[in-house]
Amino acid sequence: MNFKFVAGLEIHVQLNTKTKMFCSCPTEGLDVPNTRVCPVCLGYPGTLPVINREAVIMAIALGKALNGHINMISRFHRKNYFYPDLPKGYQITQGDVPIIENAVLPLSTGKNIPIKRMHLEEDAAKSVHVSSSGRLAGAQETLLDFNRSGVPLIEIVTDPVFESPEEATLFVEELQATLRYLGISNAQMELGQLRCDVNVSVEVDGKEGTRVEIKNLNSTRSIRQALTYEYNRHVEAYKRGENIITETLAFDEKTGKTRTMRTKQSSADYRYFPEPDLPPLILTEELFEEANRYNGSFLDAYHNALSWTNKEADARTLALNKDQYMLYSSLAEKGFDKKLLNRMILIDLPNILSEVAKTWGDVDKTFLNSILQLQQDGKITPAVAKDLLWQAARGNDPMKYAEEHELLKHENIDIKQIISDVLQQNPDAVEKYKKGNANVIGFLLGQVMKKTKGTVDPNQTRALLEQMLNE
Amino acid sequence: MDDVKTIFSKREANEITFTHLMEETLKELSHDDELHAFLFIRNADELMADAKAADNAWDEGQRKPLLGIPIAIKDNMCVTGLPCTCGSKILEHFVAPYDATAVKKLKDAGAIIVGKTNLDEFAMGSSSENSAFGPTRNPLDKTCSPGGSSGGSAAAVASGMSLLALGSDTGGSVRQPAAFTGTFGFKPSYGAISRYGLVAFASSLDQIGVLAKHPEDVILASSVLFGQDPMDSTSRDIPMAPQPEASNVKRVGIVKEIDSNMLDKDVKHAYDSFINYLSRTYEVVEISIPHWEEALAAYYFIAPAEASSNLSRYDGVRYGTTMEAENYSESIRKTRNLFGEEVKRRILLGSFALSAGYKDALYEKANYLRQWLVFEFDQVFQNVDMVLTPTTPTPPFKLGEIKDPLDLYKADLFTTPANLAYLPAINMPYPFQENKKDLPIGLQFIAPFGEDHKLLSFINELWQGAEEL
Ligand SMILES: [Zn+2]
Repeated sequence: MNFKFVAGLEIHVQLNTKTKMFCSCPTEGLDVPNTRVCPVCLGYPGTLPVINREAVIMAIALGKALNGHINMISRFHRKNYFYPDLPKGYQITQGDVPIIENAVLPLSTGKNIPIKRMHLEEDAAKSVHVSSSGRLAGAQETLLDFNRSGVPLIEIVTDPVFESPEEATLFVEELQATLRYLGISNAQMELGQLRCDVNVSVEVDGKEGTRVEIKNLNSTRSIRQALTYEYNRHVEAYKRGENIITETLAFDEKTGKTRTMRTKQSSADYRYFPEPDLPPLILTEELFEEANRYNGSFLDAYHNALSWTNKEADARTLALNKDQYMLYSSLAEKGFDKKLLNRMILIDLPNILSEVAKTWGDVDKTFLNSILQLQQDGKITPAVAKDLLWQAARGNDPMKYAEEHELLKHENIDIKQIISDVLQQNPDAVEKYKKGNANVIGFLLGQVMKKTKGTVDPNQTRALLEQMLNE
Repeated sequence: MDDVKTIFSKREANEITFTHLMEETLKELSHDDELHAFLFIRNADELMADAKAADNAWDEGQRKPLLGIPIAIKDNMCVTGLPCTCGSKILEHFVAPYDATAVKKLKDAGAIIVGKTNLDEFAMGSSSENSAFGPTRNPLDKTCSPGGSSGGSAAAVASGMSLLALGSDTGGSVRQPAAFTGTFGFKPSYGAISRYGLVAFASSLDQIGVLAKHPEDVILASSVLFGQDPMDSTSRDIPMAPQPEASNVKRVGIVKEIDSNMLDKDVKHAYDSFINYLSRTYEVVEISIPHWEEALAAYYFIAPAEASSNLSRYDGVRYGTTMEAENYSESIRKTRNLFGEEVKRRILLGSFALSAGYKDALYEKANYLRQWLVFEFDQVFQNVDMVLTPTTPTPPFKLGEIKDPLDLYKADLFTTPANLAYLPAINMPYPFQENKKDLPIGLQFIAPFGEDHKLLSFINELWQGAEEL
């Protein structure tokens, strides 16, 4: 039997407009439940929606960036269903004519992923399930937070075009980066700013398999794990001659397995019809011009990163992390040596940040500037540079620290004098060396480095030390 | 009762004060237990204080278009701090947290809101009998219905409990009660008055309208209420002025498809004799609207379809009455069971019209007919300035007289086309009743889209002309 993985994605992205999709409530400061609400987003009687212009501009920007067909006239529809988190009993979304159709996301691997449609809609409120004891396990009550109700969403839908779990994951990662570089969404999955549903099936000898849907995957890792798990489950079942049933699944991050949410597609009839409270959405030249404000590109970043690092993996890592990339880019612009930057930005800093649990946003650029300058001027060694980064991460002023601990290389340092001092103070070691024990050279080098506080180049010093021992 | 202009000139001459006016109004309001025009009347002390404040403002030289004028608001429009029940058990204890745009404009113009008027539940009905809180009686004959759904507003104006009232008109809900109470009831072009704060029944058909005893008051109130509103994306600027001007109407069309033999004999008589009267001054021509008859059927799919969605929000989760139960689905089922029979009937009909497998044949077909109707009116108005029809096929019916909902739907036969075609239309009382005690008959004029001011100016001319006879 020949098996082929097939998956399609449905992604909801929260746009980072200042206000909600159809009312003027702010989209920030959502921490305290039900404080960012008004009669409109609570679905009070008599209220009406007003389209958020900025959300439309952001959608146009995304459409342009992904080379989509942008419909000059699109419509909003009502999707009718009852749910406690849906205040009006319907969601305002776009039906038959979405704002963008037939777009493409070019991956860094060179492959183009077609996107079927992207449309604007409003988010629902957040349901929090709690038990009477207040714990989430064994929930008996549902609390509703309407702060999220009405936050602008763009829904991105692909056909079943993904050929492996890795490809689907790569798509989501690079879509995230694309949204961030454009500046239209923070797209953080763990914060629900980007939410992913997947439908997956396995073709057997070219014959279409049964499709299942996995809901609410909230990290790229979960996407890869869930898809891999499902692929294997389907393949095993087909090998045993069993069938896969159509169902909606949830993915359990702890066990790495999927579980049934509901079987049988309850053929929901959403009774779509054009939203009579909104005229058709007609795009203007002006909106297109304003969309140019959102113009950052992930692929451009990737290609720059590739030219700096010369390694695809490094370039991808760097470009996927916009903050890290922006830091690198601003330092590269100042003309610092790429080798120094690669070491500092791609190796030392990531280690230090993860160690001290800080983010790229916490990094003080002026310190990096100074440290790089010292390195470039040959005043400090890589070891000292790393030490200074650590000091900065711990909240110390690295320049002051360097001064106080005399870490800077001084022109007037007499390395020959220091070496001969060390040799005089350690006659035993010199004796051992002369008897043929070459290992003691490490000890002697350590003594020299200690005296110079690491401000001298270890390789040069070692050569000099050997030369003087042999004299 | 005087019109606003006369009241202002008497106030100028210190013949009356707004306080006097309010005292008179309160006297009438005290009889409302007979009529039940109101579901809520504001406290008398508050109303007197408002009137006193209006007097002070006048004395300080302030002149606002509706300063000190008592006005009634249909109980499906939000007024901050006042109940907004929509005549429904489901909103029995709901208090509006904001002002409808129309209400805000009236307040800014100095009007004094006296209370909230009775209506068919969620404006669905033509008799005011579908109110969960009991029917309103017709002030002209208390055994009769004042029409609906804005029956409370019409009764309030007809009985002098307010000079002006706001109603809402989705398929005739302002014009038909005006016809039944001998008042003027005006439904503007769609979008002329913001719907923000009007509790939605059928969004693409709903319009706020004005009821008054004098056409000039309709014009004055409209000039306050009209205007594009950033809170209502379907609203737009349609020209309106506080005073009438020469209408220059020359040709009036009468609809060929209206079979005058199916009219009640009193209505037929009034309609025919008014056509006669008109033809002395105007050119009266027969026009054809081929889809006139289908309009009612289209209306009874489009309106319930939109209503089924608009009324989905009443789930008892955030406001209004909540029927508690074991779980959400049981609670929402019990809560929504508070809707009255007619509301349930229309929600079911509307859900059906939108459901997969039927949507094309019902909802889409109805909208297709609607587009035809728009086109046909457009053609007609190439040729005539106004269209005349009876407002209703019958004079006011008795309370409890009509049992079959389908018979009641027919009361909307002549009024729904203007809603479907987005056109301005008004009820004018038939001015030549031989016996003044006879129940009123209503005449409807429909004008081209946006020609609201011309329509009202024309009605004013007609009314003055008829009064001089
Ligand atoms: Zn809001």
